[in-house]
Amino acid sequence: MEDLIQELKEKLIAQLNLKHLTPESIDENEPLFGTGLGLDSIDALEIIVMMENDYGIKLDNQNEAREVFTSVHSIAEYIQKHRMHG
Amino acid sequence: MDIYIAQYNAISRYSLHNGEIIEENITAEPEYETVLDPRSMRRLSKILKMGLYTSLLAIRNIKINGIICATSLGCTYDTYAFLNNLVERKENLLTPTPFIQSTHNTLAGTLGIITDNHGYNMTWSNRIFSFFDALEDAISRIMLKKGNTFLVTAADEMPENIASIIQLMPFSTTANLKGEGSSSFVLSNTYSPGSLQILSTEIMPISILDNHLSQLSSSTHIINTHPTYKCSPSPNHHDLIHTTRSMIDDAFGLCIACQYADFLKQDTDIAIEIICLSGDNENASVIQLKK
Amino acid sequence: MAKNRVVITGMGIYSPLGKGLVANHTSLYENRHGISNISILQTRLSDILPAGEIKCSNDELRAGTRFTSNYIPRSVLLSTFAIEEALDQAGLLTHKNIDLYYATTVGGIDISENLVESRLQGNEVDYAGFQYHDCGASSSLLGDYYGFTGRRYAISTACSSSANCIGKAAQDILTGKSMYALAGGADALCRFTLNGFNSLMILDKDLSNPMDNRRRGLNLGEAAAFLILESETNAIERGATILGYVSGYGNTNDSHHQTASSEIGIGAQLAMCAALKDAGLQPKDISYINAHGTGTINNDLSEGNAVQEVFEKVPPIASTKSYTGHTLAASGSVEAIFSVLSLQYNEVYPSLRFGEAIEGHRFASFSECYSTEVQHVLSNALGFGGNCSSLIFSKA
Repeated sequence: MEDLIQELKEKLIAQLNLKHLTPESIDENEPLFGTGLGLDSIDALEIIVMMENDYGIKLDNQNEAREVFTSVHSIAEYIQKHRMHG
Repeated sequence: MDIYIAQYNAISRYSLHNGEIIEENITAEPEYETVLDPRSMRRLSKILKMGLYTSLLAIRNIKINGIICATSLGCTYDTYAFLNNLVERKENLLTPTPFIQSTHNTLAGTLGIITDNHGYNMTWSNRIFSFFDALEDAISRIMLKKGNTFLVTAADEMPENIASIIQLMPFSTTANLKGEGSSSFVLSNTYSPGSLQILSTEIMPISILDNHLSQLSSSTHIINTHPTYKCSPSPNHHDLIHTTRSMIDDAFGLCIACQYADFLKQDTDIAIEIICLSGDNENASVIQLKK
Repeated sequence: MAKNRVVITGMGIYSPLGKGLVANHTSLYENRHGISNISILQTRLSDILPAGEIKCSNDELRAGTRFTSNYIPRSVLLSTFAIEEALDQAGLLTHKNIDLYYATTVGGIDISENLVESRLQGNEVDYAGFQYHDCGASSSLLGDYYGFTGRRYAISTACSSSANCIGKAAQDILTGKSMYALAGGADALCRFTLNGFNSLMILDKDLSNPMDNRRRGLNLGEAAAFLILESETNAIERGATILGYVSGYGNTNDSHHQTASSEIGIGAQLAMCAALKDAGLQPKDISYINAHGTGTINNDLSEGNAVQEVFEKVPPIASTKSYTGHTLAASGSVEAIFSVLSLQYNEVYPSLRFGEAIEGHRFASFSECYSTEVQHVLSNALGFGGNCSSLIFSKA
């Protein structure tokens, strides 16, 4: 789980062009959208693409994504859960 | 009703030093962080960063009634990035950001959001006349009393891969290389000390341009960014095009005209008259200015 | 002295409903849409996404024109038919002093995307093919094709582009800057836009349901549509038939998000109000609203919120994108023509397949064409970048 969380932080920084951040500066429980990291709906779409490309997990719409993507930790949990069933 | 350029700003390869117009080979970029929010800058392509930077500086302390942008090639970096992605991934699972930012009106739209401006918002994209059309649009809005102040910004970017495609095209087009940059002006019907007045804007056939220019007073300065037309030799006539050029050079020329007028006005009370020239093989655009 | 007004004396259209005004009107009247499986454009998405595709290859289209180069953009080829019809109807086929106000979002990208693919795959590329990529190239090509001696403009404000061309042209007619204006636009289906909208997850895999609570997204379409505008005085003087009036125009920005509208649709509200003020009309004077109505969750909710804010009593309102799909830059002028047809025939055109009003809206669209007195039509065009434009057309 720790490795996955680190990997996710690095991918988010790369995919979303968060050049001003390092993995260390992102708290795994910090909110991603709205406050915290301050991501927006375009970032949500990018994360959906990343989930499918890199983890084979398909999310059908943005609303579903926003519920899953509350924090790095919640994404990691979702991936682990779906990997087990996948 | 009189129209003035209240404020202006540019990221351009032209600059004015002690009355001399200098052209660099490359457009020097500023430190965008001084004006743009670093967090929101992360997605921005060069054309957006440049356009936002000069626009936000140009509108400092001024309330604008509308935003009018001009670009000849649009957001080429993101357009190419999306196409690249499309081809690489064979139309599967594409990331949306470059598509979202590929429309020509992205700059105008983003400016609207940042300034919370719900007013008139337009984007002109017509090769070498893009900026001229945008300028005329702003003038027309003011003359129709649809507002007092409008922002006009011309911006173009030239990423490497686009430049290399253009270089491989077998004949010269009005598109050209490496002249990227951004130039912003706030047009207003209110005079403030130091404002340059726009007296007229005109398009005319190249064939009558010589005659038209010969009728001007010999003290009129000409800032010429036309790709091929050369002015008759005179200390007041400045032919600006070198090998590097862009289709929005007339916007950079207008910025130089503003700076040049400021410079000349230091030493005299007499009205300075300046003409900005541009256009293509058939037609010339002529902007007449006075300070 | 009466205020001079802007009149429409010619219209031309080539859309998924057919070539020409008669074909389009017949389809509208008969509730017949033009959305189908993609068969002309070569794309991996052809099995998945229905679209309003014109069933004619570029070769077939080109054969009906004087163009010979394979690099002429599809949108330009479509435009020639539409422009010809408009000029013919206006009696201006041989007239050259016409100002062209042209709208497109993708210009020649249908050609460029194939060339870029070849380049990326390391294949041989004829780089001459890129020469018509930019927006201004289309305007230039068409101006030269018809030998127009007037000004040529190109506006690119995403989905509101051709609405802005009409609005801008109308203003130039009023100020006397233009005597005859040919205003409109074209966009063709291409892999760029198909994949682009798909990446935003706003495309419907079925026939779209604009203005409906069950809507799932939009269908893309392609079209070319143009109007000839001139002053009323001039039209009367030369004995031209007046088809309708352009009586109001509003252009604003939602300033909320690059690709989504604010929930209250502030930009749309302001645009509609500005158009009404420009026309000297009250909301109650509007007989029919041709909505932007793309069929996306966001647009239809937001636009409907804006409409019910401006209109205490909402007139018949529908989206003809249920017929054609979303024709992007051309949608403004396509729907302008549909608005004028509505005035001419006293008919209102529906949101096909409509069944259920959107939650939160106190009005409902309708599903079939019907006859009713139509005096003034309001048409909305809301684009990416928050560009909101509204036009009002009035009966001749």
